[in-house]
Amino acid sequence: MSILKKRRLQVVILAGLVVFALALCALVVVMMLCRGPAVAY
Amino acid sequence: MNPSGAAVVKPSILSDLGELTKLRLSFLVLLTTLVGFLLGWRGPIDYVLLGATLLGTALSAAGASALNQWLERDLDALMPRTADRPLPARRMHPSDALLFGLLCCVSGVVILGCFANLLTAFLAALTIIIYAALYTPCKRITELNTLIGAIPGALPPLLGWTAATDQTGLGGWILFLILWFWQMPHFLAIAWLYRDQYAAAGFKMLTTRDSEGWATSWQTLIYSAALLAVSLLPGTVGMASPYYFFAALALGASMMYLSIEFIRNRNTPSARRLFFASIIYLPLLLGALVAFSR
Repeated sequence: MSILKKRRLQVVILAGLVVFALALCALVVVMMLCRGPAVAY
Repeated sequence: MNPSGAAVVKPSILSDLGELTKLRLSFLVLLTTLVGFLLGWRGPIDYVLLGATLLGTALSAAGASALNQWLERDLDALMPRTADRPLPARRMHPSDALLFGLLCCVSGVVILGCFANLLTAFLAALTIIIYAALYTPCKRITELNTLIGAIPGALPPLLGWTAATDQTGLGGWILFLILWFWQMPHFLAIAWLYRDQYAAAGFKMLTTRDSEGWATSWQTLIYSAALLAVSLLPGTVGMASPYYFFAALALGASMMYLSIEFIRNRNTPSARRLFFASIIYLPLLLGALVAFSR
């Protein structure tokens, strides 16, 4: 694999990881919306 | 409306997410990691590596904050300063926060291991473990918790350094020391300002039994003097130019002056001035270090 292709793949993977991180945050938001207030902490 | 008649603003879900991940603290962690990376790196910046380092660190910091709040949710409910966090206020289920924290921590460490190196991943894991598993329970056990808590707070610049250089070097350890000593006057000032709340929650803090403030204020001076000394090291070991040396000298002297003022007055305004000065101090010092680095 050429250096340029490898670099491009790295950028794509990193972008995917950023999306994954945002999805984690979205997961919390969705769970808060769906489950409502907690009964106890 | 609350009993005093003032309107109560209900936090939004996004602000709760920011609170759970301690957004401001995580931003500071990222800033210090960035400084460590920039100081360690030689040649044209590898932006993919830098981006992955910051992403992995951000996830680790967010996860550690979530785990910390999951562990402390009962005590947070006792302090007005923290009672409105999403867990003690019961706007979020504890299991959700735990799951989020664990996922963030694991993914952050894995990203650092895959993109940077195993040493950086190890340091990130160590930071999370000390913060969540050692510092958090120690708050209820010993006054030394501040000293322990300053370790994970000081590791991020070393983490940035190791991501850039593949090793811990003198420069990385100097950054660690600067961050460690900086946190002491910073946290002692906070602990003084909120000493009643810490006492009510049962946290073991020096400030809760130091009603006159002598021990607390003197410690801020001692740590500020140590901070001044270690902050001059980059100028003496060839990491930074003489311009940095004089900038660090002026900034460190300011911190010492405000610590002396705290000793003389030992009241809320003097503690608040020291606290805010410490907030301004760090970006200025790190900015000078990057600007005048060699």
